[in-house]
Amino acid sequence: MSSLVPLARRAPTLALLLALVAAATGLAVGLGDAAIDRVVVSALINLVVVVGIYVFVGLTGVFSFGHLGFMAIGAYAVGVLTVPPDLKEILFRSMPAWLESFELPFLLAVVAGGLVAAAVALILAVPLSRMAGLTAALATLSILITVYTVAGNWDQVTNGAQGMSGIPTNTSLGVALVASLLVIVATWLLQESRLGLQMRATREDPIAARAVGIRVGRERGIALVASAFVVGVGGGLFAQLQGNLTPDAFYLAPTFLLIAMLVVGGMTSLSGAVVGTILISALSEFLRRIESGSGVGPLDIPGRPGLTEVGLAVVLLLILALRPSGLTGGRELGAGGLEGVVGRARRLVGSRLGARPEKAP
Amino acid sequence: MNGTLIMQSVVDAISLGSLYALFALGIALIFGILQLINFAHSELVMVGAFALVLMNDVPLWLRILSMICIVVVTAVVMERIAFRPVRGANPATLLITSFAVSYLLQNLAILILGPEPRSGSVSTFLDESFQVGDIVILHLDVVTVVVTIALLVGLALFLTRTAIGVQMRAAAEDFRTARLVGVRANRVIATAFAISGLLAAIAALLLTAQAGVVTNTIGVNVVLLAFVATILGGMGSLGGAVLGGFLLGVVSVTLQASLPLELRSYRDAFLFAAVFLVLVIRPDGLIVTRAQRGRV
Repeated sequence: MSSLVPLARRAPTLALLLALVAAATGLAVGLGDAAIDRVVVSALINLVVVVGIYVFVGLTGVFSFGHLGFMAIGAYAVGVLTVPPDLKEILFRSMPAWLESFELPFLLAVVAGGLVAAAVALILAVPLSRMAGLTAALATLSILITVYTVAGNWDQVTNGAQGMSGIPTNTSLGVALVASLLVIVATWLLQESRLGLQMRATREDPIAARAVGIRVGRERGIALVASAFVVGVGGGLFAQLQGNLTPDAFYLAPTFLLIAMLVVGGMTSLSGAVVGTILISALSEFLRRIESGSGVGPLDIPGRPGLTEVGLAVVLLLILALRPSGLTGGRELGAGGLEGVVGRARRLVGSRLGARPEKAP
Repeated sequence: MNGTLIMQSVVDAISLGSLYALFALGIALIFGILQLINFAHSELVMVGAFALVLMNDVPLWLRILSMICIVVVTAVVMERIAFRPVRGANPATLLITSFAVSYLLQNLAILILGPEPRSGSVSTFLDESFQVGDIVILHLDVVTVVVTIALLVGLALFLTRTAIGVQMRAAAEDFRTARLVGVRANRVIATAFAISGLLAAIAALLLTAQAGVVTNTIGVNVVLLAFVATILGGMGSLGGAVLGGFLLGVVSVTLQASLPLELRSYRDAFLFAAVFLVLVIRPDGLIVTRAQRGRV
């Protein structure tokens, strides 16, 4: 298979990213602070979700504010599927009996959660794949608000605003690490495949992509469903970490955090998603420690609620103003400057048109 | 439904619609010129609301006047610091920027004022009501409608009778050509932000009088609804935004009154699902302005 040769040539990127995640995890856990383990697990889950968002936003270039809606769907689905039936009877008075009787083992439930999210995305993919730019951003924001309202009121299934509790907590450090590594590998394979290349071509220039026979809507739709699956899985892992869920965990504030991760790293490369998540997770934990007044090293500072969020927002604004394509500049680590993704996607479009690739305007 | 209830709903719808229209106008004004949907409009409202309740001891006219000044300055500074560096970026990036500004200001408020809500009344006069037949009308309802209409008329005069107003309309129509014929971008944009600050300040006044309690998220829900109004009215069209605001007021009150009780709390889900549908069917909003049409 001739296509394996270029794949192997670009493999250093994948190896680098996997090593980076493993090293960051090892380093953080190695600090030996008991409180930090939970932080690391939650950062790894965020990594799954951010890479999931990247599958749609990064590969197709269509921005979405709504992906935490898919995360919520995955999380609540896992909640419903894993709370033991006898506990459900006590906790959720109004849950229909047929729903109460469900009980799946942890990993199966997480996959099922991803599938439920993907199924919802499949329905939404039809209209969403026609949209881009601002329209898509607002439409996905509408999805987020709709999911939030439903999650906060659908007492029979989500237990409404009180939230769902009693979810078994099986998401361990190992599970989260393996899940995030797997998601990175799968995403890398997708983006290097013919399909992934076509998705990136629609991102670079939808009109030219259409002209060379790429079905833009179809590519976007596939990306959305795949991305919703990954984000849904992330939601399931989140549910099994927290043990309880409220609608606010999937609304504007967490949306902001995950978007910051993606944008700071660079929206259009997998490396960007990974680097951004690691950096923002570290920064946000650092700020949180200052905020809670526990002190960093020899410094002892009184508690300052709001500091973490303010710090993150300032970082995001600085990146948007000074380096809008993110810290990685939208390139993959280890791929070599000019061999970046942007160039490859451009050339794909260019060579099919029979024209020489031009320099970016 | 009997006649009184219908009339009462009409009063509610007009009052609510005015508030939405005020918000939507502030958002549409900026969008028309910059293609920027300003999430942080809700934080301008928040700044105004906090300013009002924190100056509780100052005489009312001075309180309102200084509150308006504070909000207008905040709006102009916000543009200078956060939005100017990203001017001309694609709409999604602009949206993320305004999302970040909104988040920043919300949490800055917590950092400075602490997380507890602040309560305070604007004026007891506004809380009083009078009756027409069986219909109860709050003074606040009347003030809301009158103030909104006054601002609409004022804005219309400003946009048609003053040089800078005409330049703003030209910029909204076609920014590049407007600049070619000598419209100064920075001045027009700063003016637009100042006006949206003024609209936010008035909205803050009405919202604070209505709620009595100020939190750092006081404006968020209304701004989300104002997005809906702006989209319904065709993004960037000022008349459309006002129309969208009133339409939304009517729709929410109607849904509130006619939905069965168990579905009533889902009102926002219905509203935003409807927005989604509008975006699917008419991606540029119900009323398409010339500037919004894509050029290939």
